[in-house]
Amino acid sequence: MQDYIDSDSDPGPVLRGNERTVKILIVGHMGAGKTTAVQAVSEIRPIKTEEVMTTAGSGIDRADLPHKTTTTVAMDFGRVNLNEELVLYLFGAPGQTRFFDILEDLAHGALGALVLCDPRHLAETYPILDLVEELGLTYVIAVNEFDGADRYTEERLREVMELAPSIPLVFCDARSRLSTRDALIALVQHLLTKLPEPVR
Amino acid sequence: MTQAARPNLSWILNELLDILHARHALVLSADGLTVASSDGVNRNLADRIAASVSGLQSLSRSAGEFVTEDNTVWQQTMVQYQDGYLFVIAAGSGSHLVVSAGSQVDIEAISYRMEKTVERLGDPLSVAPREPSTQG
Ligand SMILES: Nc1nc2c(ncn2[C@@H]2O[C@H](COP(=O)(O)OP(=O)(O)OP(=O)(O)O)[C@@H](O)[C@H]2O)c(=O)[nH]1
Ligand SMILES: [Mg+2]
Repeated sequence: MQDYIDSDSDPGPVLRGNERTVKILIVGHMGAGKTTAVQAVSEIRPIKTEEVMTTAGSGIDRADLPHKTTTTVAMDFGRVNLNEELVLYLFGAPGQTRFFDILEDLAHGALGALVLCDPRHLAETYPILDLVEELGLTYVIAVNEFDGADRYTEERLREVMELAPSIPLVFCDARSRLSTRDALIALVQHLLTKLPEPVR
Repeated sequence: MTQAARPNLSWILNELLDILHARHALVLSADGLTVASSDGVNRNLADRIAASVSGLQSLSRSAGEFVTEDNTVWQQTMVQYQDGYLFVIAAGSGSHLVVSAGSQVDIEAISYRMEKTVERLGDPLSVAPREPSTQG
């Protein structure tokens, strides 16, 4: 890694340079917890492109999360080592359909997608699943369990979403580093079953 | 999925920085991963910049429809800050070159130099091809 000098002003894990790098897309409807998840799990200072939600968006963007004042307008970015040999580059997309062009661009080069969803807004997840499938990305659904929201069993959710048995569904708390990490591990494990050549 | 560390590319990028007030240079893949950078850019910064510049390029490209109706071809993005500039241009197929510079930089000179650098870089990704992914 002679190309890079690590300075003290930017603490964080140092890559050796021989790790496998995998680009992962983090998608989901508005307010699903994408930015929260990338912030929670990234081991380097993440990038976020939050902008205050304005009155221009009222009537277009749902506003039922009292603590949510901002929304992602371009992308989230974070990096996490899953183990010594595997580094995930996480690219979080905006959630609203008006940003789907950006999502498609972010998907370029991605191996798989983590689809975050708030089970109270399943209807908003479907267009995203359609898009991710259209893009040919292997994905795992991560149901973000919000405080105070009703809990559903995996069976019930699969039934409602009419999910194929081959698509993994996991539960997570996007605020938790470990929980988000587990969801990413589930995605990587699922990717391994799909790849002709295993990522070690 | 290749970790791209290209000492020879770094060397070319370092040379670009002898333009007065030029600061850092970095080559990224269009999908937002670091290919090489000039000395003095640590890896974590490089990875963040590669990611955000890929977004910047993507947004710049899509805003082209405001320039001409048929969405004219993107060539360069220039961003001005209080204390300097950021320039992004295409660098071969599927990669971009980004350079930062202080406010005093000669914009024409650095743009010209970046184009020359791209010629020298050839195709930055050709030596480090990424494995085909499920998404083309
Ligand atoms: N209680 C609880 N709150 C959460 C959780 N995940 C996210 N939040 C909150 O929900 C709000 C929305 O989260 P964001 O991470 O901004 O959602 P997003 O998917 O990035 O949203 P957009 O960028 O607007 O599409 C924020 O106020 C978070 O603090 C969670 O697991 N539990
Ligand atoms: Mg967000």
